[in-house]
Amino acid sequence: MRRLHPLAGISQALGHGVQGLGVPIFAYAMLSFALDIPISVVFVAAPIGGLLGAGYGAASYLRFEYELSEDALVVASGVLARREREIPYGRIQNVDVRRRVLLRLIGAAAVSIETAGGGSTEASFDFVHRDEAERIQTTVRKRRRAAQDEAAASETEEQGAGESPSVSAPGNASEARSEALFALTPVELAVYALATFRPAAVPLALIAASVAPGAVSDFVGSLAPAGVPTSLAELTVEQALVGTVFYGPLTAVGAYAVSAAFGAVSYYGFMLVREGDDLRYERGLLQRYSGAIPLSKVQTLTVTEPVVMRVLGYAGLAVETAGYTPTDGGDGVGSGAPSAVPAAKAATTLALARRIEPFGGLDTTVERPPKRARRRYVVRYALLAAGIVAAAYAAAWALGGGPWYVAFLAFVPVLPAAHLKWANLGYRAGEDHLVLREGFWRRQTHVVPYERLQTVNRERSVFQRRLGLATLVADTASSATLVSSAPSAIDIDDERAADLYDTCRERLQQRLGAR
Amino acid sequence: MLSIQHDAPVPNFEVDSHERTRVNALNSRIRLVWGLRLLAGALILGAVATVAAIALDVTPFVGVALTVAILVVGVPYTLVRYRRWGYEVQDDALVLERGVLTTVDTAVPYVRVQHVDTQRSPLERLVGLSRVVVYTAGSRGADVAVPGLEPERADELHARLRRLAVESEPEDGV
Repeated sequence: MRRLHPLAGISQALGHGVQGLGVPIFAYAMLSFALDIPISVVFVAAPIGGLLGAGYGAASYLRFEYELSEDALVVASGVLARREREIPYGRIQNVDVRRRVLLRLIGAAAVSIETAGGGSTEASFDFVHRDEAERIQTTVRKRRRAAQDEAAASETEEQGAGESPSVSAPGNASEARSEALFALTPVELAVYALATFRPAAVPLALIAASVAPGAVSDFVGSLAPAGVPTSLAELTVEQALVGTVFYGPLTAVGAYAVSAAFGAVSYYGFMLVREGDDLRYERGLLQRYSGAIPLSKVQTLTVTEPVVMRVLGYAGLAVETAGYTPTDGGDGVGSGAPSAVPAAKAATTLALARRIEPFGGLDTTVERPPKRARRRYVVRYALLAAGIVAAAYAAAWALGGGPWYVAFLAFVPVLPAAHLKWANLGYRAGEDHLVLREGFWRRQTHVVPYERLQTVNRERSVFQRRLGLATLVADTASSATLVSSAPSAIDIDDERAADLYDTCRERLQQRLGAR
Repeated sequence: MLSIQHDAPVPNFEVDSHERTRVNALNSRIRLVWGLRLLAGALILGAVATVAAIALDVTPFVGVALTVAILVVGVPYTLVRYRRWGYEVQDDALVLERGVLTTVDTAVPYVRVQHVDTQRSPLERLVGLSRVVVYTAGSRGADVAVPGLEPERADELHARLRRLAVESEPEDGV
């Protein structure tokens, strides 16, 4: 049995010691109002509490032991109530290694073990020596692989092309060989940070804007003839206009800057390594994140091209897996799918996608939906613009006048927007997988292998039926679809959708039968 | 081994809605279940609207009007919903067709079935119906339910789906 890093013991002892010290002081502060207790009691009780706390901390360090046994990870813990937990290697989905700034200084890392069941961490080692973290990660991976091989061997069925990813050497894949696949260059990091907007940055920017409104409103006031308004009722139309014209963009720029900085910090030094049947990534400036993507559980590859990246000829790649996926550092971008390539030249990204994707040839060319689908978006956006005009009219009426007809400008982008939405939709039924594309601002191309389909759905709304259109939804077990909707071929010709519906079902059977 | 013959002709299932071959319909008593649910919802909303109307000193007729309006829209909706609902146990998959405003065809391949449930709500028990719920690992798993089955038929479908799921070589489900 092994223990955590010795410094972890000291840190636990210190942490609990401070707590123990605090309890008598806190109790005195609370009780001294009601009872007449001499202060000297605290000077005796606090050190005793501190010692007890430190002792408890040290004991919990000494009583926390773990072992990488032959078939399971064994963790024994608890000072008074003991708990012994065995986690079979086969069940472990992922070993996360995190190195915060302080931990990196002392060459240590926090390790957490995740399994498919439930959302919580199965076991966490806070913290161990860096080499030990590596050892846990590689050992778990090796033994998990061995466990899976054994399970596969016990089945009479031999593994076919579908199950063993093209990247793994079948048979002796248990020996994890490590190969660097991708390292993010500073230019690519800059592109990623600037091209990907994190919605989480908006509240941050709003808070910043509301904390320092003085300078801004002074600035606005100096521009408006009537001076700074003291209440909403005194707000003149000019002021409101100037306010929106300057204050809005200022907040937007601020949000964008926060978002870019956040992206740069969390993806600094991104590296992707292949180890046996896993992809392992590492990233982060202040806190290093490291996680594994099990290739055998890959459901969908998603090529993401935000509009800025498209202009620059860049693309990103995310790998969606079933079951547990490592959290994406809270930046809200990955939506459940860890990045394999945050950003790189499109050709590089696709080449890498082809190398790591375990489902045969990959081609992301698509066919657009029929032109009549575009009419739907024209109507949709025109209704939106009409809504804006109505809102502006209502506002002008409530404020007692104003140039509400300016809102008619909202109709200007209707046609281009409808065209762009349509132009960025697409689908293709490839030999091995379905390719589905969607989105203008953040274009995503999903590559769904037929053998990963769970259910096939063909949906037709009233409006779609009028135009002879349908939407085909390809549902997989990807955990990313729990967050966003399942990849779909939107507004395609109804008959093509019916064909595709049948094709998907046939190919699924063929691919699984071919195993 | 898969029980499905791959070189066998593709199941002759016409998905075009214009000449859709009528697949298994639900038991017509499901209309009663849906109708009673609709009525309950309409009455509750009507009661809430009546209380609000009295509080705001508007004519309490608003509540009655709301209930009537919901029923006027809801009853034809329920009837169309029943007419559109169909399911079929095909060679490779359980196929469901349903939907009023948006029609949805769903194919659930047997290889993907994780487990099958038979469920009965109090209202369904009252009219003597069951529902079969099919779970997959997909994100839309909870969607796949066949309501409005007589208990014997539900049991039969349940058993059949279970058998088909087992026969079609369950692997890790993803």
